[in-house]
Amino acid sequence: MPDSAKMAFSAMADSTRRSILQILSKDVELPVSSLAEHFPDVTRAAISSHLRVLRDADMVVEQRRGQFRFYSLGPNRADDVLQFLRDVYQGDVDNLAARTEPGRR
Amino acid sequence: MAGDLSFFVNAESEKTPSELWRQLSSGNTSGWPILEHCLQLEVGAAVMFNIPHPDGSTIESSGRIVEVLEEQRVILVQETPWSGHIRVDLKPIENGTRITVRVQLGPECLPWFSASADSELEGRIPGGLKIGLLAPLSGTAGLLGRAVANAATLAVEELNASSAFGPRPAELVVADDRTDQGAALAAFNRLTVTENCEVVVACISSASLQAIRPVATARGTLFLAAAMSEHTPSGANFFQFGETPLDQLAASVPMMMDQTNSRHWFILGSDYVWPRSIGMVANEVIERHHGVIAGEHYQPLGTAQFDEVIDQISRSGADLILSSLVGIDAVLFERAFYDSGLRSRFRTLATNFDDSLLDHTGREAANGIWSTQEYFMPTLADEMDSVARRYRERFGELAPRLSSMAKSVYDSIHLYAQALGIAKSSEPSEISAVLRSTRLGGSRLLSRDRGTVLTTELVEVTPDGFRQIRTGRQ
Repeated sequence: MPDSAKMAFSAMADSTRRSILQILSKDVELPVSSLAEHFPDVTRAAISSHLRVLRDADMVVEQRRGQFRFYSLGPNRADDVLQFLRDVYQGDVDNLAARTEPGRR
Repeated sequence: MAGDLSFFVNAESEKTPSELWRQLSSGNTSGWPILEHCLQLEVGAAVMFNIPHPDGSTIESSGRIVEVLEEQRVILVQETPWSGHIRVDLKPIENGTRITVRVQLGPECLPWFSASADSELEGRIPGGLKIGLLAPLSGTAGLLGRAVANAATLAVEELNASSAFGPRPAELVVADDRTDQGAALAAFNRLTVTENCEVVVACISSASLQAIRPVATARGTLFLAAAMSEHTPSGANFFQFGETPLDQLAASVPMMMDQTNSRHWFILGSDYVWPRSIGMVANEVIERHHGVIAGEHYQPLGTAQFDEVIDQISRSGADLILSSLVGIDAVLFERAFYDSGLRSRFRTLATNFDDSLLDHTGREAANGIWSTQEYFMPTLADEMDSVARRYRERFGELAPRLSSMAKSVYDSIHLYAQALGIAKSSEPSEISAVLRSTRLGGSRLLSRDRGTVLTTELVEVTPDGFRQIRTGRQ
């Protein structure tokens, strides 16, 4: 599995980070303050820390405008993660088409 | 499914759609792993298959066929370890057939890979009360997990609808114990430390229970063990609501001996603490009723080879088998036993054989199995209790049926909500005090926790599914 996929797995491991991605999938771009409003029990610093993890995994992108940072969904929308599973299923369907190799199990 | 992910794969074959369809229909020679163990290519048929894990291990997965269009399409719903849809289309092309597979992954798939506690993203409300569910969605017992997760979902949805958890709805957080002690402990830690769940309802093996219990006790976690297990003393915030070996065997063993006019038993189980407890209690009960132990054998979990033990059973002189094999092991053993031609010579009393396992084994191969557990979902709609009806309405006729473990989880969550309402606090010690008082009336779950022996229901496999032989009673 490529490193980017591992980072995406790790980024998706936390429920707050998954919620952030879900929120960003509805709103194109949001500043930290707006994101933090969705999590009344989580500190602003913790939200920033989650955003850092997501940014490092390319799952969100950050843009500075004046004093504010805005976040939107990044280029790595788990595509690398999905590639692993896609390869598995592609192998299976190739076997089915050719039937020259035994099943995977 | 909200937040799901999907992709296509395709390939071209020189074969015609008819040839490929015959190939897909041919069970374990289909060349397509997802249908390798499928008994019949028909709506409702259960499938179990392995997916490779990036770490080199395998992910035991299961599902069900929900649509079949002969020579054109088959659609499967994946049930474990994550939800999803797999659709296979066969389209004729000039020199053969184009095979297209569309895979739709539920939102909990990616978190599952990262060993995260998973839950539906939609409806997540940070800050609400969290109920943790620890259940097997993969590994040997993974076939049992989807019904359990469904039942927990139903209970939480119902209770949220009546504001039973207060003005803010509760959130269900599901974690896969992967039928593994280490994974179970890690999942428990995620539920209690990362997710801050107020209570953990668990359907896990007694081996995992043993690993988690000291940690849960030290942490003061309110822990409701809903699956069958050997009886152990209750702890301060630790409750055991599942069937005990004595509940399952005290009445079932003599009844089976009487009705079959047989007395020679072969005891077979998976090799860990609960099946060995079943074996120990079985020895006592069989002896008390003047039966004979003709053989006893425990298989390591996850063993797919049963030739040796089938040979042992055949030569033992037994005519009854007591089986406490679990999950995939039980399915593979029963199929191998049927294939050996011995099925008709033996009756089996199984202590962990539910509707899901029956679906995967097939009724013909399972004919002759008697099963005893607290609850079996009635087959006919007009015989269904209200929970079974609501479960079927919520998840549909093709969902895995409400099992004993699933019903126990459903009841445990309702019991927790009742205790929460009385205690007016989510503090574990206060909830426990209510559960240990007499204020909640005659709950069978609480009676079991107090050590009362409650006889479980006894059913037998027929061509129409399970047929009741005896209801459960005190």
